Amino acid sequence: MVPIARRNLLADKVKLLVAVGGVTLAIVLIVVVHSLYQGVRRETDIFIHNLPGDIWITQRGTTDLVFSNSNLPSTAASAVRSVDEVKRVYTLDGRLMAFDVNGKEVRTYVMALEFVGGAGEPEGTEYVPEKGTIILDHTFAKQTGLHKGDKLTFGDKSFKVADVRSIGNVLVTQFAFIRAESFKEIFGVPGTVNYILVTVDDRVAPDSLLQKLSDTVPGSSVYTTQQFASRASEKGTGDFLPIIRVILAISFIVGLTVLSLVIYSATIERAREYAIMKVIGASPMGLYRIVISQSMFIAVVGFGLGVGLAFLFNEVAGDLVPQFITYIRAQDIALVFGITILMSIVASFMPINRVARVEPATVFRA
Amino acid sequence: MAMPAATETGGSRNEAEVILEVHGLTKVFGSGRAAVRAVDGLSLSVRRGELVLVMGPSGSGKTTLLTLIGGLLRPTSGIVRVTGLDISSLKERQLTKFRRHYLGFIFQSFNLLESLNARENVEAALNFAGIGGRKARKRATALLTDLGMADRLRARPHTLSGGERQRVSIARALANDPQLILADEPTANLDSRHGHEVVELLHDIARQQQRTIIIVSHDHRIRDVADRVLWLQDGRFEGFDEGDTQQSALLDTAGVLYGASPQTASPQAAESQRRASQPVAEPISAAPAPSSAVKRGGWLPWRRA
Repeated sequence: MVPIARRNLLADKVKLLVAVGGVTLAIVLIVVVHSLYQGVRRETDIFIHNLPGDIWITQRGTTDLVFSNSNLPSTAASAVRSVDEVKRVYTLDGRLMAFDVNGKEVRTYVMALEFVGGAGEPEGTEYVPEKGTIILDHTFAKQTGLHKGDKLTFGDKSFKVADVRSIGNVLVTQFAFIRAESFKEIFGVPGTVNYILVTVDDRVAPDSLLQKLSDTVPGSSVYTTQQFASRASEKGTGDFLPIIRVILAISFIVGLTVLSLVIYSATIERAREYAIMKVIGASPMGLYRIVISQSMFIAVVGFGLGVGLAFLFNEVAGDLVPQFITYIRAQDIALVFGITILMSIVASFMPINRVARVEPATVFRA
Repeated sequence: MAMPAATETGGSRNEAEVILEVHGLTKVFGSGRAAVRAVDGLSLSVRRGELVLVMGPSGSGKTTLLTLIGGLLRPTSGIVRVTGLDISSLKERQLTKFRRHYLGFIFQSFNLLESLNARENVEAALNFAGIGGRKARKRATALLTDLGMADRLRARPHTLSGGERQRVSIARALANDPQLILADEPTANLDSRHGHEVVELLHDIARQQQRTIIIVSHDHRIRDVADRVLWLQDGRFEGFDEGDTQQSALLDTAGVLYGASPQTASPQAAESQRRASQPVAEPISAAPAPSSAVKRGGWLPWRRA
């Protein structure tokens, strides 16, 4: 078959470039914004999963680590430990903290993990630094210019950077770890802990123990790690979701508008040719196929370029702005492809309507 | 849609030979006092292999007649039959199929698809008829080669001369082996030499391929090759000429051609209409019609024997 659609597009390269550029821009925006959203979700999820424990116990109503508080009686940790199915118990404390680095105030979410007791070797020791030291997230370190061996000051206390590694970066803040004793010295509220993390016996399913632990710690909410990670990820990004949706909608509209205008103007310019094709026997469906093929050709090329540029943009932006964490999943690419195809179909409506109204008899006008 | 073959349209040989029949064809544009009768009760009968030239001043209804025969406009009243099929009763989809398989169009401004090369322009017409791939390419190449365009197959329309473009247009018109070819001012945009070539070409197509051709034109050169010349004025046939063998007095009367009053033209017009509706007595040779130009092998239609 003669590729009429492609030939028509390639005949006007400037118009083709404008259309592909518009769609590419829209796809870049959609992929980047969506990958930023997924990046934040993923970081929160990974951070919670990396900490020890199959079950999280929080104060009732606590939704996440950053945007809500949790205070439990410290005696609750002992009570939890006495439950038969519980293997090991940890406490986790944390709060946002402003340090002084060379006269400049920098903020990070400082946490402290402590092994309360239980059978076997405790996990998560990589999050427990020596006294007087701090482990920083690499994003925070890059942002503040801190390196291993540098010092951060909080009031009359100072912490030497023991290590810089990937801990957790949730866009608004990054996590850091100090030793539990230090945390208690600085912020500790006597008789309270923020979270209790529980490792259960290998033969026990964590979700079968939730009710029992909830009864053991009155006024608490008990989650499996998976449940709490999902809640925290959702809460951490939920506030951004409406904004992200608006940006996605704008991107879609920009792409759709550019594509529609280019395909429509190309159709008007070639209205006579559509009339000729009608005269020489092209079926209406055949002509609509030409319009849709043009639209899809632009959309698919724009999609390919857009996704490629989005990867490149994320890479460069991540280097320049460390908090800019992105994550592109295969299913998100598939979703964006679906959006692109939808864009191309919607963009074809007006031109198809125009083609349908082309009078074949007009070809007899010289 | 069941399209009857020409041989199925009647019992006698003469009836079977008729490709186009037009009865009482009228097309009125607008309504009330602004109504214009572009075609006014025309009747016409054309046989296989006949080349009919329709002449007349601008606005006389020539092109409207062509678009009505081509099924591109619906008549206000009257009937158009092509190979016995009443196209006035066809739905849009059926009309598309009808045009695809039964008609070939040649235009004054060539009307080639600018983004396609010469071969693709012909191939596209075949694609629309459901013929694709290598078969379509082979046929398009053969048609263009037969028309002397073998070395211009990949040339885009804007790089072709007027004569070459019209040859591509003719090849496209022949692509689906139509029985009836409608040509609208095919020589108007061509210089004398190329115009002559195209006229010769159309004549040979009618003669050798037994295709019926209706040409609408101002070009008097075409009179030499036409079997009949019909003169149209104000939507009515005002005169006729049976080619170069019978010179009608009407043709030589400028008053009738371009300015006769309705009163004086009326009896002549009635006779013209009667003559137009009858095919010429022996318009064609009795040679059987080949199915396509390609099957003719080395046929070179623009060189008259």
